[in-house]
Amino acid sequence: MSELLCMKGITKRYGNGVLANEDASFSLREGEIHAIAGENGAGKSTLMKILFGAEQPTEGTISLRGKPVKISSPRVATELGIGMVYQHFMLVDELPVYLNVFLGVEKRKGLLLDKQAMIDATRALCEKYDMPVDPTALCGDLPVGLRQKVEILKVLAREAKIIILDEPTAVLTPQETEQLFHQLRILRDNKHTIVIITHKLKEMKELCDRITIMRQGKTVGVVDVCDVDEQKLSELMVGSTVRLKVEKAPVRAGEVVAEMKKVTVPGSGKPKLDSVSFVARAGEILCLAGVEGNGQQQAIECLTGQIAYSGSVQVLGEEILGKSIRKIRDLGMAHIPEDRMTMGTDQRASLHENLISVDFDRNTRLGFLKSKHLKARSEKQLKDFLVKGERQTPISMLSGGNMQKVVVARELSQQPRLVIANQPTRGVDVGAIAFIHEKLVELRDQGCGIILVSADMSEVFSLADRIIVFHEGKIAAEITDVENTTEQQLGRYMLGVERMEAAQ
Amino acid sequence: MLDWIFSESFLMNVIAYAIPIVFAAYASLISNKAGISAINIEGAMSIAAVTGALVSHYANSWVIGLTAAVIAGILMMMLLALAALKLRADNFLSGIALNTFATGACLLIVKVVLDGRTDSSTAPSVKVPNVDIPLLSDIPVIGKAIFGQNLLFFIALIVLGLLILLINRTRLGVQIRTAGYHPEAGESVGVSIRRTRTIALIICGAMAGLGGAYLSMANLGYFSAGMVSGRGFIGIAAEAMGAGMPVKTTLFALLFGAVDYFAVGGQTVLSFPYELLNTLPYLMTLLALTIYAAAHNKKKG
Ligand SMILES: Nc1ncnc2c1ncn2[C@@H]1O[C@H](COP(=O)(O)OP(=O)(O)O)[C@@H](O)[C@H]1O
Ligand SMILES: [Mg+2]
Repeated sequence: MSELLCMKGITKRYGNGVLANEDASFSLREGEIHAIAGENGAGKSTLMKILFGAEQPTEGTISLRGKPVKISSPRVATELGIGMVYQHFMLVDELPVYLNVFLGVEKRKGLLLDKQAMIDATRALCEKYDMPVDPTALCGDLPVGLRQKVEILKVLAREAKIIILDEPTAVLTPQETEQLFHQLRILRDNKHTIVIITHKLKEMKELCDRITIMRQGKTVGVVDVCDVDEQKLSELMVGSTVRLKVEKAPVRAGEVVAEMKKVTVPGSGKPKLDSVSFVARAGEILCLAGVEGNGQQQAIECLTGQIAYSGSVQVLGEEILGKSIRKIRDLGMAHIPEDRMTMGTDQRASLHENLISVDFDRNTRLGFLKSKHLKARSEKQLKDFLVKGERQTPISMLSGGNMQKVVVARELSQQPRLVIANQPTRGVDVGAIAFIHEKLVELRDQGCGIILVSADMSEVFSLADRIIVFHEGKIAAEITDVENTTEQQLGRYMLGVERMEAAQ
Repeated sequence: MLDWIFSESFLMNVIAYAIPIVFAAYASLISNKAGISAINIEGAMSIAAVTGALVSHYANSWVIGLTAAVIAGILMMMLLALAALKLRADNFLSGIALNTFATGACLLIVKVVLDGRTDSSTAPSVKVPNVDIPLLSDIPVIGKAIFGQNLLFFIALIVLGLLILLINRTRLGVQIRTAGYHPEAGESVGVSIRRTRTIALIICGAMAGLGGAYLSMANLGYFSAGMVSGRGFIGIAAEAMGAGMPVKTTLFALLFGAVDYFAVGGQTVLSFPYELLNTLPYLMTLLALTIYAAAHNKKKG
């Protein structure tokens, strides 16, 4: 296979002084699927944005098919046949799929848009690459998996030969991921070259031909997938052996900290939660497992007071129906929400402001903030939770892993008696995952109750003391002997192949 | 009172009062679609009004006067583009500043040109003509009101059609909507948001220009300081209530026009307390701005 693209000596310093890439290099062979791996903040997205012309390198050269090129804007990249699907989708929800696909390159008949031609072209692409998307649907109405397809269609409509995907699987369910990989393979068979940013070792092994590994802005290696195993890969990624196993003492479950009794949440057609009952106890990590969309999210939303339900939900001994979220938190509940971008943080605020957002009004004297005290507290939290960022930094500047650490720092510093952690390590780098896990176990050992929602099997197995598996709004299994349960067994419960008789 | 409301002149006047509000609403519609708030529509209208009145008088041509008014409106919006898009000043604060500037500038212009006067009644505008469509204008009740209106009414109708076409069926329309809904998405595919918003502001300025010209070159035959008196804001509110939809926006603008006329017409026809009726447009502006703020917050939040 011939060398298609080569980036050499790429250095990128952002306006705020962050050195995101330092003498990084990257090369692509025609027709390969190439993974870029590395911790959050390693500079993967930045390197790819440079390739796509969305950022300009401070130094370095790019050559395509042996010829040097200057990619000064995404438009130039598009003309060169390079397309990118961003981590955060760039879709206009209010426009139909076909207009999103052809955004900026609309087909026209005279002065007016040629709607039919765009619909037909979109449909043709969908068929060719086996993507079931309705061209006339409004983008905002589509689920995440399909929105991502629209992004890929967008790139294809511009006839890109090199397609970059920034952490495409972070938002997908395992099934959707499978489907995406299937489509990416079709693309490869059609002579497209694919770059995929991911942290998931399994995905790299399954899908890719080569892997470029980045650490702290530099490329630390390029390997053929068949030459390395997962252990070796994770070593390369973090620079030291990752502890995949979390140390924890035997469980000493105490009093009930949360209880759901026959809770039902209606949905369109089938109820989203169907008469579900369970308890969570102090000193125990209870994991709510399940394939996304099987009711575990609704269970969390009930417990945190976000949605209406019928039945009874008790948090720390009190019925929470009609209580405000503030009141529920005051009972001693902390919540690490699923989406750190919209719920977990205020993107416009600084780290400090985000950290004090839950209790600044309790730290006042004569109506004024005790700012010295709060600042010192924030500094300490940032230090304790190893956040790479200053107190005054806008949180939007942080990488996903660091952002999540800020949320975790805020929530776990409230001396909670119950922590609800919803996908606390999704899209977070290996180092931060281990750290967050340690913190959760630490709290558990101090007698705090933890309810964890996770779609990540290895997380479930390394943390859970007890697992409740959700399937189609019901509890399909309750696993108390986590140690002696296999991933395969859990998978069968999650997929509804089996269910435990005792459960409900 | 019912006699009055159902008379031919009532509908005629409602439409006549609504025309400037309609143009202001269209100005607001196109800028909001592109994701920029042009609260200086009010000020742009008054600059356009003074420009149209004086230029038409001295050039002795309503065509030249109207063109000048449109250009003046566009220039005012280009100031907003300069401040809010190029220099990245706060969108609202620049709008407010430009409104204040416009109030002062209008007075200054008439004072300088007409030796210290605050209106241009001594230099009457050459008026934009009325159009009388034969036969149709003879239809009872609505005939005169619709088919015997000022030329600018027909221009408003054409503009409405063009706006709908522009927004829904053209590339520029898609770009404008993208700039409003999700600018980053546009940038990511090479649609320049600044350029798109600037174009939208040009159209917005032209609309404000037509609205201002109507006041000083059709409704009244001269410019007088403060003659816009909140109609720009009311147009903005009509657009907010119409949720950015052209036809709905037009209908709300007509409704506001009716209230406006009621305040004036009511004084002569109904002998309502004059002071009370005079507060109507202001109450309406207050209401309008409240509605606008509410709609704006809803969109944001
Ligand atoms: N637009 C930006 N401005 C300033 N700093 C940034 C910007 N984007 C990313 N960074 C910083 O650059 C570093 C690399 O980020 P990124 O390329 O997103 O890493 P990755 O994709 O590997 O997680 C991080 O420290 C991040 O905070
Ligand atoms: Mg990234």
